Amino acid sequence: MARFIKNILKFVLVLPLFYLAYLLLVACSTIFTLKIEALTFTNTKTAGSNYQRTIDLDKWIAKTSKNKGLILGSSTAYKNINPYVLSERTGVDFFNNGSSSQCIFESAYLLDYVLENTEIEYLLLETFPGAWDMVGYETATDWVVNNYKPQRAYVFNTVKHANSLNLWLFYSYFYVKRSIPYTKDYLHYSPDEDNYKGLGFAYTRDSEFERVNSTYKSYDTISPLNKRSLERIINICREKNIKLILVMAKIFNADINKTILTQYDVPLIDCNNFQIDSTYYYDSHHMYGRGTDSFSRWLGDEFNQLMLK
Amino acid sequence: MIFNSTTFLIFLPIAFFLYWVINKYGVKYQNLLLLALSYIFYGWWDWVFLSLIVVSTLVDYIAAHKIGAATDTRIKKRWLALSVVVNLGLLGVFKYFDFFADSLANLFTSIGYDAPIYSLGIILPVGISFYTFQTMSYTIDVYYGRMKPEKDLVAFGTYVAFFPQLVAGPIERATSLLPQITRARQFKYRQGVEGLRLILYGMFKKVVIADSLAKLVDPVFGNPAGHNGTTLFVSCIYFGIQIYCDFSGYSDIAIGTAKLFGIELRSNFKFPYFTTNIIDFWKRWHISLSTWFRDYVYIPLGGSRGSRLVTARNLFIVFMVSGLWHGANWTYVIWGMIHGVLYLITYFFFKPSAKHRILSKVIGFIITSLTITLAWPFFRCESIAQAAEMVKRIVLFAFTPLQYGQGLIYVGTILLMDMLIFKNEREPVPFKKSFLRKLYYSILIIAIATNWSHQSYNFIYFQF
Repeated sequence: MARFIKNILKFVLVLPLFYLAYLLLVACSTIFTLKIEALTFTNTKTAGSNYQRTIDLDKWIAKTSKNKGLILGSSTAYKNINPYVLSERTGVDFFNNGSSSQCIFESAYLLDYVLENTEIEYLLLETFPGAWDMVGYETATDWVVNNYKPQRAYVFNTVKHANSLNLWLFYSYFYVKRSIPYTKDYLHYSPDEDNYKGLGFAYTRDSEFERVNSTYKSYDTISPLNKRSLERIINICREKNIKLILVMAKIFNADINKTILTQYDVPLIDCNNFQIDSTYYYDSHHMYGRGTDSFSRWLGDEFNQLMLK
Repeated sequence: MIFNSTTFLIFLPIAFFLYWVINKYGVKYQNLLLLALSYIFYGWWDWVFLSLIVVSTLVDYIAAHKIGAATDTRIKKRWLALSVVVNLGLLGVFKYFDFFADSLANLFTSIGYDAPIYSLGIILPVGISFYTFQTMSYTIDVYYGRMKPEKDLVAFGTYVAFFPQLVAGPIERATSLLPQITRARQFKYRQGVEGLRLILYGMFKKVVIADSLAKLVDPVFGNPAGHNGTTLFVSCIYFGIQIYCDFSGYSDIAIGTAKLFGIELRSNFKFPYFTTNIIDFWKRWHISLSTWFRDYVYIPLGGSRGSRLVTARNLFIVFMVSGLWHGANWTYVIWGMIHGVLYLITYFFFKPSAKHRILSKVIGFIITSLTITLAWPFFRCESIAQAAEMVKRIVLFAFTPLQYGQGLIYVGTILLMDMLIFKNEREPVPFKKSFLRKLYYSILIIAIATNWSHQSYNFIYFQF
């Protein structure tokens, strides 16, 4: 038994060295091909998760325009809200930084990052009730993988909260890889054929997802972390004089406890009031691209009305 | 608790440590601990359904004793019948009631009578098909005098609920497992190392291969109409590899974990895809179930002792029942029947050519692989119509560029790894040199860790 345990411990001590060697090998392989990285770690590029969007966010941050508006939220933000249409309707320079299943605590970290580097006038915090009590794994993965600066605080914090073994390994890999010169990233962006349209917006073609009938769901809980983060965002906006508008995503066939958002003295746009046929959606809450223009115009009008008040 | 969860990774070393520490107090205490650990393992999923295991254990314990004590054959038969009725009754209520009620209602509707559908709507208790078969085989063995009834209730309870193989097998025979449980066990270094290697290999198969392929397979089987023949065919291959890695991965982990506790379980898979005919396939695939049906259904039905027609009938019944055992859906019955027909054709008409041994093996391999692959839709699809549509689209085969080609790398990887260890399914490390072995372990561990999902995929056979 003692020999058995001793040998296991010996191997456990050697394992990190093997991992480091493996990590360096895979990282260096990206100089020649990205296929090994894709197989061993990951290089995700889905509708809302891509490297180009991280670059676009930094470009938008670097812009000196004074009338900036940031959209934060989940896939119902980056798929449903077209920032081009919204900007045209409102006259605000919007960037849509929604990401897959983005939780409110992740939105808060991202807001911190943006405010460290630029000033914004407006914050549209779109919340998808399904993400109210999630741990933010999808967004954390997106930010680790599709980010040329993985050491940013918001990336580390979300990985810390998601606290998944493979996410930590991804984080360590991409952190090390981006410290090695000449390594390459998976940068796929071709506006003509891709559904990513810039400013963080992803256009979902009908051919991408077949429509599925939604099943009834009830959303009535928010995790303590997300609740605290929502209150932190409200306080930051008050301190920095940023006009905060909460946006509740439209969901078909659902019972939503709206008091989770309405209990605060913050303007709220309830997208469930937007009248549209469910065939514009491929599930209970994700919109096909063809519906996003009219939705964004409606959202812009609601925004304008609130600003007038 | 499932093997591919962080909870199990914490549970296993604690269980291992306690188990060998308590060893010095004797096998009775060790078994008591093992029983408690097994109940914790199962109860982690649902404490309520643990009562079914307890019921099954008590009924078979008592029935076996009554059979052992009785001299009158009629009394023996009655107690055996009670055991079979209770075990099959549990299966019938929890697994098949809704299916048969639904099928009956559909039958009445088809003849113009609008019958109400009675549905219990109960969720299927995990592992019920496995432990009921295991306990049933015990009373049958006692009835036929193959073994004596076990006196120690704790040891018998441990045999029924032994956690590594409780929820998805291998289905063990009392004649093999019970003697191991009742005698004192000593930790053996070699056995421990083999156990860890099997756990590692099983985890790799499940977490890296099966779960990666599941991500490619699920969307295709969820919407076969939206995919072309090439993609559907390749997805069937992927599913074949997925279910192999999923289930044999589970079996490897189960066998490996049992080894850590000083217990040997039977092999459940022996490289089933390296086979040249369907008969051989069934000697290599889910061996513990195939042999169970052979010993407790096929042979009692008469086996191959009668005419060719009777043999064919017996074989066909076994395959139909085996299909139904997998799930309460006609798709599984059809899947079993397809395999039954293929088995019968091979059994009665296939004679390998002595002259062209290699050629006949190659042709046999291609035909067997193709037919097994084309039968998978009936196993995986939710309805017969959907499976038939899928097979039709594959057979019409409009060649179009392949989607999801990345899955081929997983198929290639597992076939290569299995080829390297082809001679012994229990020794999954093909290297003798210590450094190479450590490197191999490291690669497997890193691959498992990077694929370790925050939302684990359940093992497919848990639903059976």
